[in-house]
Amino acid sequence: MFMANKAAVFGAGLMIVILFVSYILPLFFSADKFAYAGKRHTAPFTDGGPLLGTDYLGRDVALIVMHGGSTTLEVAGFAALLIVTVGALIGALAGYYGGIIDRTLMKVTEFFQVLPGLLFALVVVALFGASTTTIVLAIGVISWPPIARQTRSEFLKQKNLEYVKAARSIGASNARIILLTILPNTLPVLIVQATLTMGAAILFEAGLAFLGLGDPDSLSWGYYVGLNRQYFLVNWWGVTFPGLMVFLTVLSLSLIGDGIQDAINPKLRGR
Amino acid sequence: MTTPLLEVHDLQKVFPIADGSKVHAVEHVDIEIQHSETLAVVGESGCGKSTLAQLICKLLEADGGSVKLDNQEIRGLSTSQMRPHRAKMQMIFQDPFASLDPRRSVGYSVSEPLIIHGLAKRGSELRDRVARLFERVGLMASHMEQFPHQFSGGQRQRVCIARALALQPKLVIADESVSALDVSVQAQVINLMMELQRDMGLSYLFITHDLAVVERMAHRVAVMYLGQIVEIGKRAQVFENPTHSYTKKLLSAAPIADPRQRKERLLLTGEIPSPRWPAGEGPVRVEHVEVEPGHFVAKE
Repeated sequence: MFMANKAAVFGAGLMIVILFVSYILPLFFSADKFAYAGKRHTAPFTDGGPLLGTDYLGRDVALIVMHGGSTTLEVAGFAALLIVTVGALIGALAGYYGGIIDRTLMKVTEFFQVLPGLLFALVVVALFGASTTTIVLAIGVISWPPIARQTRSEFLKQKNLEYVKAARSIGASNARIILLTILPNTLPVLIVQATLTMGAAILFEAGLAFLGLGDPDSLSWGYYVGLNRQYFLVNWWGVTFPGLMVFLTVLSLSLIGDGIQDAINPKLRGR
Repeated sequence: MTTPLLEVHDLQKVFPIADGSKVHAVEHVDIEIQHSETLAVVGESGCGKSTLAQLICKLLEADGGSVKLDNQEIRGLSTSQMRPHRAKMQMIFQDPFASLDPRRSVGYSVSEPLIIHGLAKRGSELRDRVARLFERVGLMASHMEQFPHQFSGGQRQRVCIARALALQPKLVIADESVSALDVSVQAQVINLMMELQRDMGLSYLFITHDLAVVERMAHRVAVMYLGQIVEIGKRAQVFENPTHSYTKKLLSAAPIADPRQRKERLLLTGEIPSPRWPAGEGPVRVEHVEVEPGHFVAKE
């Protein structure tokens, strides 16, 4: 099962480390992350300096990266939840009922799919302010169409199979068939999509924050990369460490997604 | 004579095609099934027999006619209105590899009808009932936790039969239910179905193209051709005195194991006719003549 998949176990281990660094470590290092920690542009691993060096204002890079994790993960987590819920619901209804419901919902989906994503998110965040809620909504609104399409195609494929006919012939209601019969059979696709979506949401949040549309008080990883960008030639570590965290988080999510897919598919069990 | 369990009158189903033509899958079909009786519907692929089965158990909505189950009209009922009638009529499907939910244990699949119809409380009561159903169809109660892919075709079809029996139906519609099984397993499943008929008084509507199965199981036989019933009667009447030319050809196409009994085959000639008609046209409705008591044949 899950434990037999080495890559997935590695991904899960990585995620535990990331969660530990973002949620447990800050409890022990509760010093003001904005405080002066040493001469500006101190390189990492210098004697007497902070572990990962200091940034252009002399702040502790390790401390800021540690505290930025929860912001990044929460934005990405809520956004992925929103995207998968909305996408799966709309895709399921469109695929199951077909006809006019399908055509209407797919037109709506296409409308959101052709919106220039980053531009739309920039406008939303610029108009309503850079709070966690608006960033989650902005990412959610532009990212659900692929999930809806995927769910719809799964429902189209499954709804005419005999086990669905069998569910109808024993008197199951439409809601029961959608939620308890077909949806569990689309889970492998949905879970992989959900983890990839979460990775994409992290990247999207980083992108928005890099452009300056983030909460300056919580300094997410992307936002911090953006702040350090202009000093890159003299201070490579200010960009590299938060960027590495983004990379490792996205990597661990895709490995976990693959592992879950194998684990919940009864046909692959025990292989 | 008592009221039949199932009365189908003038049933019709037409599938429209984008170019305006229509496929007349089922045309003016009249059939009746008595309590504890097996009616076999035979015919070649594409003659509309599976559509007929799906119309009767309302997986498809008919375009015209009536379906009466236990003297109550069920055509046109909504999903929720239909629910109480579902218990009286269950279906067993063709492909035992596709008709069980691959992600659920077979025990769950068999218990689902009981849960939906509120016939057993969750927990030990439900477990016991499912275990009894498993034993009834020749499986072990310990099989309940397993998944469909762990079973052979014959075992899966037994699970499907257990699911169909869960609601204690009066009519079981079997759509090519043994065609996907190999011959020895087929015989076991057919014996099981006949045993269940004796013990529980089930009626079967048996859709098949396998004449050997018909000879073994059916009390009456209906021959379907291009969406219409061309001949219907008791098994002996149809097999020993086939009257419609299509029935004769169908029976002559069945292989006989004894070489001395081989006779010249009557072959269908010409183009294979299609149930598809241009807009505004349709098949001529056949008229039936009673050639002997209970044996009806379409006029040619």
